[in-house]
Amino acid sequence: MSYRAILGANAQNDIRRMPAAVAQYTMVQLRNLELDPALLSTRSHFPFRAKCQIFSFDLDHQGQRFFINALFQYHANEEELLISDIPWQAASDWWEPDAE
Amino acid sequence: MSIVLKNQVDSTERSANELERLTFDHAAICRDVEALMLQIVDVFAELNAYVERWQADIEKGVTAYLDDAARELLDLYIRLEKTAVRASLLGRTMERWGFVVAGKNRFINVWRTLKGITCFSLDRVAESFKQIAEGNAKPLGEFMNELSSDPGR
Repeated sequence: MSYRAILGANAQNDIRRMPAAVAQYTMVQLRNLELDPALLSTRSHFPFRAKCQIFSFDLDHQGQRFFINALFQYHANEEELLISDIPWQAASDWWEPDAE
Repeated sequence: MSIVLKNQVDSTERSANELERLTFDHAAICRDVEALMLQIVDVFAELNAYVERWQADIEKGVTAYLDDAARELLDLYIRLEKTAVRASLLGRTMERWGFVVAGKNRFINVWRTLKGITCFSLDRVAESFKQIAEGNAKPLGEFMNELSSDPGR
């Protein structure tokens, strides 16, 4: 079952502040989220919002690792994902996991 | 707020303090670094379990939502993430000496998840949901069209 993503004003501002390539990648990822949010997200433990989901993904861009996190809730109409915030951080020095 | 959880987070910080002070001259120290990483993974799981119970109690009406309680919990996540950064530096030192770090991937996975939690601001998220409730929002497709036609990008 696919959904329609609705971006709140702060989520829109988060994307606008990203470098263009990162913003583009983020929007593609949000399209993927629309197709299968249950698969791509997990329950958020961010303590003050019950029933929130978090969708996290990373991107390497210009020597930096971007950590992007979208917080959303399912709308009661069961057709929309209400995306409230998409904060991100960039790190130039990240400890890579070992190949398994 | 769980005193036990707070003490566990305190304990990870104390361990990181001690390990940073020690000279890395034998493998035993490396075992302590691995133990610190494992401790962070375990405390994270317990913190999550506590938050889930807390959220469930709020939903059932057993507990009232208190902003201060939420801030205290978020503060524990933030402190744990900072200790995870320090543990990762210790782990990288171990690797430079040629040691294999046991439990590394599990630790990095928890650290990444912690980053996902701690990058949110409590006040901003509250504001964001208010914006959505007030209709200050738009569909992703509309936003993408708007952004692609923005000559400034």
